[in-house]
Amino acid sequence: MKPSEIRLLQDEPACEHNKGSKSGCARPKPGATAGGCSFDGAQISLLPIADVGHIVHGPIACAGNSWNNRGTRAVGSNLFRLGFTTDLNEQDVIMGRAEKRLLHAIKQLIEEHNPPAVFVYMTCVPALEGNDIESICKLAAERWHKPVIPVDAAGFYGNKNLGNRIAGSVMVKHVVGTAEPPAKPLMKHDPSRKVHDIVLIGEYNIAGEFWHVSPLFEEVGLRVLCCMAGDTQFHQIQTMHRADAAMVVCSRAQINVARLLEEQWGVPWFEGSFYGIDDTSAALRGFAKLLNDDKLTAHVEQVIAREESRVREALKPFREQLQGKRALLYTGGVKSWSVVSALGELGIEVVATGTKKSTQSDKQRIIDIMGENALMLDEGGARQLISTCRQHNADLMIAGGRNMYTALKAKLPFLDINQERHHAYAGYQGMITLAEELVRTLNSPIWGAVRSASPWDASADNSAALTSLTPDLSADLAATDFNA
Amino acid sequence: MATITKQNTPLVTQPLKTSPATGATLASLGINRCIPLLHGSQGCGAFAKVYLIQHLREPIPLQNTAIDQVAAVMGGDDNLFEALKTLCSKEAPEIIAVMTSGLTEMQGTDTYRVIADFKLRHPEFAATRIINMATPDFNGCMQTGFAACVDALVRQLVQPPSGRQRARKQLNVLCSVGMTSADIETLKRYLDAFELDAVMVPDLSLSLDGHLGDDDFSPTSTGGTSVLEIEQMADSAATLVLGGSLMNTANWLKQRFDIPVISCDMGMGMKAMDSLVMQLAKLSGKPVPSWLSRARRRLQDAMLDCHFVLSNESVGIALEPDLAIGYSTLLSEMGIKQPRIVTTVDMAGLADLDAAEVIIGDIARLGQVAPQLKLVISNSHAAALFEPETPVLRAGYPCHDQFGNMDLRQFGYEGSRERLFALANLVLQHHQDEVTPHISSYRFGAEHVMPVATAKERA
Repeated sequence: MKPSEIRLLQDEPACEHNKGSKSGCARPKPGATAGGCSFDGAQISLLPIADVGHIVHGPIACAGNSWNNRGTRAVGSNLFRLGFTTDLNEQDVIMGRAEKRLLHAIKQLIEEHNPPAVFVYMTCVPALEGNDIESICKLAAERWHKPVIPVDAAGFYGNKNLGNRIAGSVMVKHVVGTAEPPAKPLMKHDPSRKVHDIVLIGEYNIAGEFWHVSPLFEEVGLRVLCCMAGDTQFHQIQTMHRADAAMVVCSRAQINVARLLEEQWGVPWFEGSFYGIDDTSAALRGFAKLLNDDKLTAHVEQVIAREESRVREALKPFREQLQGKRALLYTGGVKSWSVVSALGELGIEVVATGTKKSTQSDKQRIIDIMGENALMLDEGGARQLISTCRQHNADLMIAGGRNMYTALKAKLPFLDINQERHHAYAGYQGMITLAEELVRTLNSPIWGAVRSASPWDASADNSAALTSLTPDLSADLAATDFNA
Repeated sequence: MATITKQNTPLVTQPLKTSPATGATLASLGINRCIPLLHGSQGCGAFAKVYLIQHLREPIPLQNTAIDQVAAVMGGDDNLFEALKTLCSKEAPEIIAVMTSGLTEMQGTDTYRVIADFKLRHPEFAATRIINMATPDFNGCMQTGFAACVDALVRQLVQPPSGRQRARKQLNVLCSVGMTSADIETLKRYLDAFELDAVMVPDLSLSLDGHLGDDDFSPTSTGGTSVLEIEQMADSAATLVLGGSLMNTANWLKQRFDIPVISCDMGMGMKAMDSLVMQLAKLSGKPVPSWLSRARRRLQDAMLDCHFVLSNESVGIALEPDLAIGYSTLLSEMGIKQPRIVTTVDMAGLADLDAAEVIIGDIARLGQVAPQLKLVISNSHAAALFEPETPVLRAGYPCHDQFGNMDLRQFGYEGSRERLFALANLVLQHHQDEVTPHISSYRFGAEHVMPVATAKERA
């Protein structure tokens, strides 16, 4: 990919960061970075297209370290859970055999698995070598009559967000609009109307959590043309352009997809989240508003009222256990405020929230929820997170998996809120899971034990420690002078 | 606090317990060059033998007195007498442990009298000690039989204090039926760290740890604590009891020789181990070595790592009381709910467990609550009953469907840690996604879309 193309991608008019001296996302700082590369970003946002053959073109580290390690779930073909790679070796690199190897790899993949499409991911080594994967893909597509799509997002192009964005633009450029969805069916519950078509962008179905939400869409008569990307199949991406409305879920990285859908096909969109009762309701209302259907609006309100009262009732016992606990929240973007309100539902006070990846509007919403004095953390080093917890008497830390062992080593209860987690927190039902997991870690009896110094270190005077033993044993021991 | 109920049904369907003689046989094999002799019919011996062979994958030199029809009616004294004579003359073991069966107890056998008579009439076999114990299968279970053997060994062999000075303090250690070879080895390492000499009764880690000896055949146990060591137990500074089942024996040593008792249940979980280490430090007057502090820190880390999958889960236990108490304390420290514990016999300590209820009964009692259990800790019988729906962490006897039973470590900071990992791994291996996939009725397949050759594709 040419630098000019990368610059073009970094210029995202729909993103608030896109102004002033800073264009696009901030550059990574050598020696002080956490997070993945462009390849990582591109791969994770497209991998949940489950029936596609995803080939990582490069030496082993890129696929070897990352294959099948995501929490995303899919029904039907799970081809994405295999780790296809060209596994370039030294001779391939020296002799310039990488392109040839790639072509053969595509052939083998198609012959063995016959997927509806093949995605080829560029990585640093072939990019430096100057491999022309675009031509190889074109050649392969012609030879095997199948879409073979190059995803040119080598690691050194930039950070993970850029990779998400490249992936999004590749989909819009090469896939979206290449097939028409079947005609709109009638609504199951109201055959006088046809369904509305919607798409979701940036929903990854982590731990299957989108399945908490998808039944609600079905109930009110919304057909999900495509969820990009979680439990997704290739043909669904092809039909995204026919959506009546789109929602950008919890990730601004692929906001370009929504903008392009709007520019090219006039699909209206909004941003939202499925974390917490309020946000889930807001998301449903968001669709109702864009779709402009009075019956739908009324139906949505009815579903919201039913679900909210059901879940609030189910949360009562958890609320009693969680009331008054204090949490430090360190996550990005929309979650920096959406989870705050979700935690509020459970009676948990958020003492500080991370805003490193939050926008101005995110910050404004934090102030709306937490008040003027809301403590926002712009930097999230491990040391600072722990110090902040200590200073503000936080009972637990809620953050991404990479901070999990930081918290544990500091003997702090922890909840994993990011992509690596194993629990489904989305939607109304997800709130109950969230409450269960919070109670699990907060109320575990281990904390006393893991924070305790060994009795022999705690006191130089052994006899003092001995009094804490069971009385009869202490008596036994006291009665005997062992040194006699 | 747990409520204790005894199962009161005429039919037992999945017995958790087995005969006391099996336990006594096992205990006797932790004494060097011992032959266990079961006073009963061939079958009494054969069943116990096969049971232990399957679990331990070791030959078991169990003999029996072959009570036949005539002896059943006329009395089995002659059979016992003859068996003792045969074993003494042929094998000259260090010790013979004579156990009774339901059959011979029903006869009203008096093994003590027969043994006394044998000693009187055969002074040439005086070098072989003979102890007796009552282990009828209509009373008790494997654990009580094991305890009966330990009790007989101590009461019938221990000599009055010698008064000799010792370079290192000596400690009596009574090891429960629930302890594996690995547990005993770990415990010995702890004791050695405090420069304590230990008399382990019994010491299965020297006989049934799964080693190859030099001899191609051995009619006796192949290792263990020697009779001489047991005889000198009155010289010890304290008795350490692992497992409440052996408390009676420790109390006897205290009453008889004024030897103080220390205990830590099964040495499972942090509290029990902290208490034990402090008692050993006090007893020995030695500082706690740094590797022990390290082991404790590693247990703390394991507790942290595992709590995400273990805390608040429900686990069922079907084990004999000593092990049930050991595992229950370990689980409690992790905040694991225990809706029901099934065990074989009532014992002090069971009522104090952090379980909803304790049932003295068969494994089927656990089946009644199986739907709410994430895991079960029990033996191979339970595995056949609960798996694959509910995974079973193997513990206790018999575990004939896996190798290395004696290598499983439960004792100490290390054993606790390893058991926590084993439990957590079982949870992970049987992980099921918490959300059922939802396929919308509006979802369409690839065959329903209409491909379009768009302008940009043509370009």
